[in-house]
Amino acid sequence: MRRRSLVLSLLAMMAFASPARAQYRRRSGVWLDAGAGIGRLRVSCRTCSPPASAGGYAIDIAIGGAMSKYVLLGVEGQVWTGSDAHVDEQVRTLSVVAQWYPWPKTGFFVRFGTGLVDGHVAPNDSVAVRTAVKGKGVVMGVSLGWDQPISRHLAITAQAGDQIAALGDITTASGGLSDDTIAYVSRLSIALTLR
Amino acid sequence: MIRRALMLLLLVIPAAPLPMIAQSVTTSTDSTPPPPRRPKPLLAVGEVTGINIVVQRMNWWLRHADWADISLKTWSDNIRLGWEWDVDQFRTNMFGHPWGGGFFFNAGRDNGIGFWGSTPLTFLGSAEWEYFGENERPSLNDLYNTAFGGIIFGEVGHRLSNIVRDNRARGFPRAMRELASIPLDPVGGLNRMIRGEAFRHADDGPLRDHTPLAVDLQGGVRLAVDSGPQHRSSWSGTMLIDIAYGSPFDKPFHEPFDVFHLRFQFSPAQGGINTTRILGRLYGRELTDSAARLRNIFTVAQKFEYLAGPAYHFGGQSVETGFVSNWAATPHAHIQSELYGEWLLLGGIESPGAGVRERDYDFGPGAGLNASASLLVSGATVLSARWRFAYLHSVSGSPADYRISHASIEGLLPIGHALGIGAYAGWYRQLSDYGPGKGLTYSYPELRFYLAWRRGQWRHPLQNPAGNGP
Repeated sequence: MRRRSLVLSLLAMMAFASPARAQYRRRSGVWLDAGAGIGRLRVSCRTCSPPASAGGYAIDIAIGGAMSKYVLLGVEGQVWTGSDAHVDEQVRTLSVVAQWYPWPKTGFFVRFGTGLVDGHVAPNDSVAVRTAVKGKGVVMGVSLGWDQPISRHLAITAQAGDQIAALGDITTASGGLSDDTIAYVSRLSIALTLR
Repeated sequence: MIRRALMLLLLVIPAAPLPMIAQSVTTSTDSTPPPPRRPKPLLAVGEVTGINIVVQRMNWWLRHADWADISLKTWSDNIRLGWEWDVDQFRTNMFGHPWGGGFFFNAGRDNGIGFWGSTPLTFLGSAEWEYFGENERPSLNDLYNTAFGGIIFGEVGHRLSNIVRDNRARGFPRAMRELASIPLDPVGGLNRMIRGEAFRHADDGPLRDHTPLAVDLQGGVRLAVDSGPQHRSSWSGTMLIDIAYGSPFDKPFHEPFDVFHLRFQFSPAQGGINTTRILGRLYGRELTDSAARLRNIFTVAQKFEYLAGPAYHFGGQSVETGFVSNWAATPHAHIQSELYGEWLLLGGIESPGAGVRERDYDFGPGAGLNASASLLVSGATVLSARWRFAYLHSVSGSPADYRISHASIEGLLPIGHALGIGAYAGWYRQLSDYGPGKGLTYSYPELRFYLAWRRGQWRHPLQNPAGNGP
C-alpha cells in the first residue's frame, strides 16, 4: 500500500513536470542528496536455508561532484533498520558512488556504488532462537532513479535499488556458523537533491 | 571451459602487439587523443549483450560446457538464490575475468562513450553474464573483478590500440597493425571491420594519439624461493614488459588514464604469469610550480594487481590516493617518488588454511600503502626501490586477516643507447592471522638478472616507468 502510493506520487510528479524544468538539469559543481525510504533485507549464507528476510526503513545521504553532464561521483552513507520476529537488524554502508545519466537531457540515472559494510543481521542458522550477529565486509549496490528539478538548485530524486553486502563467516550467539553471509537490501526511496 | 581457452589465449596474445607498439613509440609531447565519436549508448549496450550471447552460445553449442546449459529455470534460480563466492582458480578469477571485462568497456569506448560513461557497461555485462550466462549462482567476486578490472584492461587496451592502428598505412603493414590491435581491443577491432574503417585509408595523422610512450623489454633468469616447510627454490627464464604511457610531469591532468604504467612478467617454468600490474591516473593536480626543482602532484589512481609466485598468490582491484614527486637534484640527476594510500576494493590471497571447498584462497577488502623512489641519471632510471604493504580482511573462505609486505630494489646499467643489464631483488612476506595463537608467516625472496631493451622515452628526464612496480 505504502509502496503503491509512493510510486503513484512519483508518476504524478513526473507527469506534471514542465518542459521548462529541463533547463534546470545542469550538472556541475557539488551535489548533495538526503533521503529516506522503505527497504527489505534478505540474509543468505551457504548453510542457511531458507534465507531470512525482514522489512524496514532506510535513510541515506550522499555528497559529491559532477565529472561531466553524464557522470557524478560521490560518497554515500546508508542505514537500513528493521526487525524480523522481534530481532532488530541493521545494515550500515559507506560507499563511493558513480551516478550515470545515459541520456543527460532527462533525469534518468543509474547509480553504482561500492564500499564497506557493517551489518547486524539475523541469519537462519537452523537454531530455534534466532539472534542478530555482527559482520563486516564489502558492499556493492546499484539503483535506478529519476531526478525531477523543482527549482534551479533543488530536485526531488526517486530511487529504487539493491545492495549486496558480503559479511563473511559469522558465528551466531547460538553457536551456529553462518558461512559466507550475504545480506541484500532492496530499497525504494525519495531524496531531496541540492546542486 | 571457455575460461581455460581464454587463459591459453592470454598466455599467447599479450606479446603480439608489442612490435607495433614499439614501432609506434613517439617522442612527441602532443597528447591529443583521437576525436570522440558521437556517443551511441544503445549500440554499446547491445554489443555488451551480444558479446555475452555469442560467448555463451559458443560454449554450449560447440563445447557443451556443463555450466553453459541454461534455461528459463536456471535464470529464475539465479535471480531467486542470489549471489555467492565461487571456487574457480585464482588465475581465472583474478586475471581472466578482469581481462574479459575489458571487452564490455571497449564496447562503450568504441561507440563514442567516454571513460566514465563506459564504466557502467562492465557492471552491466558482468551482471548479465552472472545471472543469465551460466547455470551456477551469480558470483560476487566475478562481478567485482570483471567490472573494476574491465575498466582498467579496457581503457589501457583502447589507448594502446589507438597507437597501434594507423589509418594512413596501406598494404601489409596496415594489415599487421589492424591484426596486432585486436588482442588489445577485440571489440573495437571487430567494429572497425564491420564499419569498413579497418580497410579504409584516411589521413588522420594530426588526430592520432601522440602521447609519449616508453616500452621496456627485459629478458633473463629468475630465482624464486619459498620459505615454507618445503623450502623450495627454482630458477626459470623470465620475460618482463614495462609500458609507461604519458608522464605525470609532462602535462596537467586532462582525463582519466592520460598517464598509466603497465608491468607484465612471465616465467614459463614458474606458473606463467608472475606479475601484472596496471596503475592508471584517474585524477591529478599539481601542487607546485611546474618549473620548480621539487614538484609534487596529488594523484588519484586505479590499480589492478596480480602477483603469483611458486608458492604465493595475491591480487586485487584498488583505488590509490597520494603524491607523485620529482626532485631535480642536479641538471642531470632526478629523484622521482610515489607515495600512495590504497583502498583494496576486493583482493584475493592464497595461504595455507585459506579457502573453501576446492578454492585455496580467500577474498576480502583491505587497505594498503605504496612507496617507491627512483634515481634517474641523464634521463635513464638506474636505481629504483619500492615498498608495499597491504592488509586484507577475509569475507569468504577462512575467517582470517592477512598482512603482506613486498619490498624490492632494482638497478640497471645502461649500455649504449637502448640496451642495459640489470638486477632485481624482491622480498614478499605474508602474515596469515587465523585467530589468537594461529598465525603463520612466510617469506618469498626473489632474484632476477636480465638484459633490457628500451624504446621511446628511454632518456626522457621526467619519466619513471619502473616507479611503484614490484
